[in-house]
Amino acid sequence: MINLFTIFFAAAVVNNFVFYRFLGICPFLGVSRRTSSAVGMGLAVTFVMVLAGSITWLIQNIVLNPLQLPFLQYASFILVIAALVQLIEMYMKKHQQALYKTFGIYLPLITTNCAILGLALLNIVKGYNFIEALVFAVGGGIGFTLALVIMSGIREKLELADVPQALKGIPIALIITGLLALAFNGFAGMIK
Amino acid sequence: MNRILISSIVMALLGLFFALVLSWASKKFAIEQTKQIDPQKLKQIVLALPKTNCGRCGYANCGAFAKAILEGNAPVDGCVVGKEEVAKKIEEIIGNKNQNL
Repeated sequence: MINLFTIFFAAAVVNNFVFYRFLGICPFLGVSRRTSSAVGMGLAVTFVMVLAGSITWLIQNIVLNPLQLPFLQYASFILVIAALVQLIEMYMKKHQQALYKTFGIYLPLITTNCAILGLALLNIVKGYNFIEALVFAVGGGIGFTLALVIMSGIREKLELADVPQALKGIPIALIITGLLALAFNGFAGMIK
Repeated sequence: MNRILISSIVMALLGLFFALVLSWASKKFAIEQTKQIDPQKLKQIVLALPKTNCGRCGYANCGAFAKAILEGNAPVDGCVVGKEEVAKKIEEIIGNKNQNL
């Protein structure tokens, strides 16, 4: 139980996917303009992460390992992620019109969100069992959502601030990302 | 050679599996792109319009305008000649669904 909590905490905060591993920066910068869409994006990514994490774990351990085809990892994992994102896009188009319009291009871009592929691969590299992989995926997703929400909160305030012309928009966002990563570095080493 | 064969088959089967899942989902989450037009209502709207075919509503003729209203593309008060009277009639016909004056 403690072990699972450690994995969760490590994935969500200590080794945060955005601030520690610097994975998934594209949607992180793209959809962190408003808190409401940031939460939606975070939840969508969490959902894809959990599903992709568990399905890729099953594929790795039931199909690829027994057949000794570990080199198919990347191709099959990308296949899983792409299919899942398509599924979510179809669902959202039907039931979440407003959110679907807010995401725009960033929804299909979840496919190429390296945080998700990174998670699927890390699951295998770290040799987690199924439950641990699931907890790791949930933690990673929560961590990603946390990063997006923190960032969107700051950026909403930033709209009103007097930012030098040259730094407006993405440059200042990148600087803040660096500062946040520095802050999150305070957790470094707590959990190996 | 054997490994190439096995890996191709595995990828093909995985692809097939996800293709089936997606095709099921595309049916389940399909959205109706075009609304069904009720010919009875179309006729009623055309009769309510002044039938001047002036084109001031932005459509080629009164028939096209009536169709656009039923598709939800044109506002009910789009008819310039008919003014409020016609707008009210059309509103009654379509039951004021998803239209705002």
